[in-house]
Amino acid sequence: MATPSHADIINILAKSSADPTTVTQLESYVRAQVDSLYGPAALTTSEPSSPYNFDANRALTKLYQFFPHLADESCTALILLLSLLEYPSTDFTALACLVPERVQEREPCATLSRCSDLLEQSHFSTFWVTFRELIINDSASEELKMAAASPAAVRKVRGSILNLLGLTYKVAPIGTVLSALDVKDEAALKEYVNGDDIAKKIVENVDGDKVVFVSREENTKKSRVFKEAVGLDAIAAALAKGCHTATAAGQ
Amino acid sequence: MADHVPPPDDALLPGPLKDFIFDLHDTSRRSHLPTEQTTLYHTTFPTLTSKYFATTPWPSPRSVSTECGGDKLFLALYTELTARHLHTVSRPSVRDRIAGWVVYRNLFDMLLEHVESVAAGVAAGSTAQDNDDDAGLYLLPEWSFDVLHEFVYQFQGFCQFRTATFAAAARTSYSSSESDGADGGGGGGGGGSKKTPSPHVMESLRVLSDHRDAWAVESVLDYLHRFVRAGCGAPPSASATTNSASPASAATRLSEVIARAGLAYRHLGLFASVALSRLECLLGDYTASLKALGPVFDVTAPLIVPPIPPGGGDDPTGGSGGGVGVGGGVGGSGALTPLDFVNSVTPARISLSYHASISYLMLRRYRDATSTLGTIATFMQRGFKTGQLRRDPHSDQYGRQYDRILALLAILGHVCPTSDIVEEGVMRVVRDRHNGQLNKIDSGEEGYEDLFLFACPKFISANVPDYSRILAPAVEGGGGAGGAAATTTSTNATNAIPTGQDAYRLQVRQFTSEMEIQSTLRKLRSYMKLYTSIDVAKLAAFNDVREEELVQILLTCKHKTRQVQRCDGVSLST
Repeated sequence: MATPSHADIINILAKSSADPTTVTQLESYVRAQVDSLYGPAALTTSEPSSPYNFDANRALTKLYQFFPHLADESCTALILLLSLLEYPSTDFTALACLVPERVQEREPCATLSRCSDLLEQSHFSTFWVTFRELIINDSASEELKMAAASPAAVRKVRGSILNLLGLTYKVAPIGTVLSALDVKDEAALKEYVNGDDIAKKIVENVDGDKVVFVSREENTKKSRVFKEAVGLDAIAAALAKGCHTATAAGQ
Repeated sequence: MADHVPPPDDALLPGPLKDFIFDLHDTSRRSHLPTEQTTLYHTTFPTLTSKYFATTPWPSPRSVSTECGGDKLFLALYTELTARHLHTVSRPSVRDRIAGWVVYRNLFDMLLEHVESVAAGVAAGSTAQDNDDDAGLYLLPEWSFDVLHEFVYQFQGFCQFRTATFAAAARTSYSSSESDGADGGGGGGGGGSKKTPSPHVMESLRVLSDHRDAWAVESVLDYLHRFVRAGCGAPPSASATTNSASPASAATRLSEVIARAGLAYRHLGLFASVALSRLECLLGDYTASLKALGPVFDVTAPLIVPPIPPGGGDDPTGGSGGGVGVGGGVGGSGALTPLDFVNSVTPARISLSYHASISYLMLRRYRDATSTLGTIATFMQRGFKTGQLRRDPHSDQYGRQYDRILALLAILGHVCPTSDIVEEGVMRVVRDRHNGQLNKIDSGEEGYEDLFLFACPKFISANVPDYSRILAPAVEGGGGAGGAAATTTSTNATNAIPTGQDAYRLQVRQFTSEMEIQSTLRKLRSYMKLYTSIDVAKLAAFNDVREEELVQILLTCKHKTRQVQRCDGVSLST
């Protein structure tokens, strides 16, 4: 069956809300999205012909919920992987509310759920270790393994983590950045930053044992100072005035 | 000897009942008078019900058909109205639930066939004169909402009934299989009594199995989507490929359809949007729940103009009543935007706000959830104080809904404190009611889950179970191999025994896992509020963690405090 185009998928989603006959086309599109991570299209810089479509993946997950006999757990795992790569968006969270618990507790979805939890809690170095387990997971399909191992997938997550670091730090210790991005050393980090358009906009420079991030509103100390303390003389004046008024009233 | 002439079907009907049917038909199909229909729907119907049919069904449609000229569409509406009453006074059996589906299917097929044929005619360029014999349909906004609200309510009840019945049967069957397997024999020879589910449960399962199409989720969703399309126009993505896709032409076409088919379809379209949002929330699809509200918040949508009484002035639509204005903006003559229209029906307003807020909460859009709940809580608080809500026909439910809204605000105020969104009067009530619970959470105990369990909707599982697992005859194994096979099968089956609460547990699990993370951030936030700047080592010491762990918590805090938020003037669904 020919892979449906992005426009075909838009039309499918507009026409039908829970039509089980669309399962095959939606599954085909999921595989096309995954293929764009490691297939020939991944080597080009142009827009993929099967871009990530959360609504299509969500629609398929719901169809699996409504028609369990049509459910394909390997496809569910691919959908969860695709949404994981969209961190920090809440796509994974939204889909996790639709995938049955018993499926989430089985491999490889269990590893994907753990990866999501680790990202949400910013345990980045543990995340990379767990993420790489997908590549050798016996329950994972070949597509899943290849997608997880693909440079495109790694680049996506790395970029999102780097962005969070850039929002939190103005200057970060290089060790923190290396372990969060799963990058070997300073040279590898410089190579990554120089070769990635998104990273270049986030990192100002890598300087010895520090990484300096581009200044943004979120990582810059605010210049406006709020005077939160009240001076004793101000309180004393108010107290004195109050006592004087009470005394006058008592007389 | 004179031939025996059977008495007319309505011979035994009380006079007031006949008048009620006649008048209700007249207002919905001919005169389209809102004030008269309001009296009939809100006063006359309950009065007649309590006087003649307090615990019994209303007369059959056939008995009353002469009062409405045998109008099939009206009789379908009458059937739904009276079946709704019966649902409230009796506990429905499985057959009653199936019958309820038949009622809605008949009604919706008729309504949608009518409006879709009108829409096809408009698209083909036919004139209004081609449909002269069609009187159009007018239903009060409250009536339109009640139909769709009850539809989703009965679907929800059916799913819960089906899931619970199947789960109960499965537990009985599989636990007896386990004990047989443990005895080491096949089904026939071994010791231990073989339990089957009760006859009542088996009968229910058989009926459900024979009517698998009843309340099928794809059909339920299809009906709601079709009402939305008919009453609000197709969504932009679907019409983008057609030639006449401009919003202005789409609005004109919609106005023409509503003018011919009747204002009821506009009402039904908007309330179907609210009902769809609720249904998607119950299914756990929070993104779809918010998207479904698109038509309600569409600022470019035509206004809703109330019907004009006969002889009451120029009718801009050329019909006997009002209709749909063309163009956006707030108009005069009582014209309402779709949002104002939905808000004019209190139960619809509460349902919309509540389910949208649950969706925001589960998608971690806490400020949007707080804003939505704060607005509705303020409205309800004022309504209780002035007595306005207590006079409403649905007032018995408002108290409970208000309590749930306050519980949700307690969670949100604790997780994402905001000082500028919710009125102080409402927050004071939240603190008074839930301070104890929140103090427990502050001291490290679990408390969010209890609040959520109280406040959350009854989530449902919509899939049709595999009835053959229970209804198919048991395989009688003999000897060791058969026994072993039976044991293996029962083990696999045990692993898959449905609990009847799976859908509910999934949502609660998602919520609590998110709250566990939020709890770790709360202590950190309280220290950060006290300082303009503080050393990382010192902050780590305050939080009883190592510096490396504190860095992770700080990153998590930064991540969690960034959330998608709706801008003013933009749809609730974005």
